[in-house]
Amino acid sequence: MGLQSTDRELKKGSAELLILSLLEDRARHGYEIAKLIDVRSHGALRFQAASLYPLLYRLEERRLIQRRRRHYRLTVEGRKVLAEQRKGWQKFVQAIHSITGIEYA
Amino acid sequence: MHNWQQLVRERLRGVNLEGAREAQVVEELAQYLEDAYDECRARGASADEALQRALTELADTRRLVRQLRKQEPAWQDPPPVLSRNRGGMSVFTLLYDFKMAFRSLRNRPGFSLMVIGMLALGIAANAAIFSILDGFFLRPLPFRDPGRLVDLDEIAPKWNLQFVGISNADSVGWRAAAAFEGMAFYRTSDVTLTGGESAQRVRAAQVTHDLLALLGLQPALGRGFSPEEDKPGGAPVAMISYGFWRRVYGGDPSVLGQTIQLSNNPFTVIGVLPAEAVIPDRADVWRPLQLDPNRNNGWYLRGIGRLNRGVSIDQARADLLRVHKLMPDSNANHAAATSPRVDPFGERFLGDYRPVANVLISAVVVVLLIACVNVAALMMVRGAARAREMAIRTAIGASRVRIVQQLIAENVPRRGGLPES
Repeated sequence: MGLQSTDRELKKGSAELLILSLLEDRARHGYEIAKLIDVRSHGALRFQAASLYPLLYRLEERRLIQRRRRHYRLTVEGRKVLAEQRKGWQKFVQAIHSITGIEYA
Repeated sequence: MHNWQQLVRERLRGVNLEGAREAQVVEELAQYLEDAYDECRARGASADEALQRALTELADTRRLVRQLRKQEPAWQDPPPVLSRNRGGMSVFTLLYDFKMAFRSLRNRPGFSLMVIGMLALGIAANAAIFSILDGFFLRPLPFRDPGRLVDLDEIAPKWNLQFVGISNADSVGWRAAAAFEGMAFYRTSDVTLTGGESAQRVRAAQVTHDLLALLGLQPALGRGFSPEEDKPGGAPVAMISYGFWRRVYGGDPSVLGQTIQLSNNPFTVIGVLPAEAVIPDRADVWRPLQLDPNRNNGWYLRGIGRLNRGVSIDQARADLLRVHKLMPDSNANHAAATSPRVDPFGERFLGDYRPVANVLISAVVVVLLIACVNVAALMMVRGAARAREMAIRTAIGASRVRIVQQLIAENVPRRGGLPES
């Protein structure tokens, strides 16, 4: 597995978690979400519209987020899934840490 | 300023989205591009650079297209325009439908006017005829047990005369007929009411004292005539009609005891008739007939009888004829020349009109049917033109019930909004 594909895999796996957690506090529209990801990750993660919106639509299909006018917000179901994914992610990172010795900064 | 929506559509070519869904996606993505462009410009980039930057947002649309194609055709979002409902049978969808219906009516004024006009014509004709029929035939007479009331008169078969009138002697002799619970007689004339502010012509009736009771009515004020007052030489008393009382005396109860002048003869008002006393001839003044059975005034009276319970009109006719024949001749050839006739009370006035009324009803029903057929034909023509619209609606996800509901709602304003005719 090349570096690029690893990144892509990681990105794919975490993208939903990112979006869900960004919508935890308030409703946001598409561009806002992309901007936040870019800014908060200090440029490490960047989503184009062409990759962000498929994720948004998929999440909407699964009723984890809801679209009102131009804003997306978390549904009750979405909050549940967010909590689960957070826990899952934490466990995963700890496992990696125990095996590889990488600290979670 | 760039046409972002156009750009988006170009990038998304190949995805077959329907109406509302397409508009949503395009709008969203276009807004994204515009925001990206604006931010670049704000940072100091040139128009070209900003445009390039914005375009990279939609560089690889494969995933997006794949996702959109996967999306079910039935989009759950409410239409971006009016209703916020998914299409259930709630009040909001109904209001939405009405709004759309009115809009479509406005857009096709010619068609709408034609349909409304045709229906209005049919319904107006119906309503007019029905109100006439209702007044004539359907509404019951305002008397007690009106089914038992009959009109009495005499015929002179020798001279082929109908409705010649009843003579004094007959009016007395007929009362012996057992088939009848009671009889009353009257005549009407026009008199001049003098005294007071001005003279007016009023319709007056001379009645036997038992007329009011026969009809089952009570005076609205005061009392009726007594048998004494109904004898020749009886007191000059009178009753006035309810309408007359309201019009001329303003409903003042002190009218009792006052004097009115009928053709310069004074009469004392002893009572006010109830509003239901529409016979004879809606007379404004009643006086006692004060009939002298021994005087021959010719044949001039009208009569009303009430059949005994369970007696048919044919039985009554036979009975009255029998009694009539048994009467002693008070003048020559009386019994041979005349014969009593008994008709159901309403028939006397309406009998001639029934065939006419039937023809009118039939004509009106036919007119309404033609109007409906016309409207149906027009609707069919319109329906063919709207087939495409219906296909689109089904594709977006309208259920059949919803479409039917909308069509019904479209037609209700047409009918409901007709002017009162």
